[in-house]
Amino acid sequence: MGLHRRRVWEIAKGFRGRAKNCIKIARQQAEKALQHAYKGRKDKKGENRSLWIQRVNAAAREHGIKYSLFMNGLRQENVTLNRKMLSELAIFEPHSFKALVEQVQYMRGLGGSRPGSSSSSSSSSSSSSSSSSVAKRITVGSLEAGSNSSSSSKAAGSISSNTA
Amino acid sequence: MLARQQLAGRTTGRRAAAQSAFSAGHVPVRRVQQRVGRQTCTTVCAAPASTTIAAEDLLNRSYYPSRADAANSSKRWYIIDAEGQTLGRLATLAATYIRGKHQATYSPSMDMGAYVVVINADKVTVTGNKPNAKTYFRHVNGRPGSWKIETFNQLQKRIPERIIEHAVKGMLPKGRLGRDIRLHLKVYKGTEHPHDAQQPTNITSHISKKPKDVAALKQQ
Repeated sequence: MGLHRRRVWEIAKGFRGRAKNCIKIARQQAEKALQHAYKGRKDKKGENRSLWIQRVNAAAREHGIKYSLFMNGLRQENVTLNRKMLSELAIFEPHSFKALVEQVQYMRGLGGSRPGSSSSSSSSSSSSSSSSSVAKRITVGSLEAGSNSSSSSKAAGSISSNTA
Repeated sequence: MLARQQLAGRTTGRRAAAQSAFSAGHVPVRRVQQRVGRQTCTTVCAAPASTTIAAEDLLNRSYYPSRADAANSSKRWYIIDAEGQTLGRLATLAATYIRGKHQATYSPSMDMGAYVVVINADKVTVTGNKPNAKTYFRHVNGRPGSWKIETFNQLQKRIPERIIEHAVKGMLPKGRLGRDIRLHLKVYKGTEHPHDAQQPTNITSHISKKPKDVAALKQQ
């Protein structure tokens, strides 16, 4: 037939109307739900990447560069941080992210002094612009200062780069 | 959840190196054992012993805002002076800020945006023949045939705030969240606005300009 009845009831919890009570209808809806879940698991990967890109774009524009130029610059600088890590850096390690932007701007001739030469602010106070509750999470990058954070975040990024 | 250091009973090999290197987060060991460069990472990422171990999987979970992050009390306020500004370009900027797309913490499912105050709404401009040609349609009664059309000029004389609200509404997402964040746009006719207590930041200079206008400004 189709799904076993026991499994149908498990899946059909919370469905509207007869779809949660009557087996013929519930079985159809349960099978549809599983199909949606299958498709959703595949779409989730693309949707997440799209969200990371939007976040990196927003963060880069805060520092005066567009996403396209920023990513191009990172590729030329051989920084293999993936978009997920970049978006996490932008949220939780804004100083590290700014260092990356400055590196790209310097490479393109848009920035000022060579990044890393003038240590701007201390790393321990990685206060994000949005809210203070966000800054409580401690990550690997927050423990290093200035240019070192780029290399540590590089390591963090390359570990999960196969999920990019 | 137990701290990862406590769980790392094994004391030798790459697994121990991995777990000590990333003591602040969980690394799936299955993947780690294939990596050759693990040893070099250990020295770079050495964390001091005082690091607290977070309970969640830091490296593999994207940011999702908490209710505290999205709280209205922590939202910023911005102000735009509409005098002489092009309608669409102003509306784009306002919509971007209201939606939260100007920040790295942007999340489509939560309201992470800011409040935007627009003043001098009656002095916003449109280019070309649009003051006489751009029309605004509205239903009057709910009945068929009961509609009215007015031009930009007519509406600006009647209810100037509606022009900017209409423009920004078209640029915000349509849905539950879109309807809620529409209320975060505050439009006022003159220069007076009741939001001085929020100390809104002026972002009028962020309104995009046409390339020829940018070049003209650069020459000056």
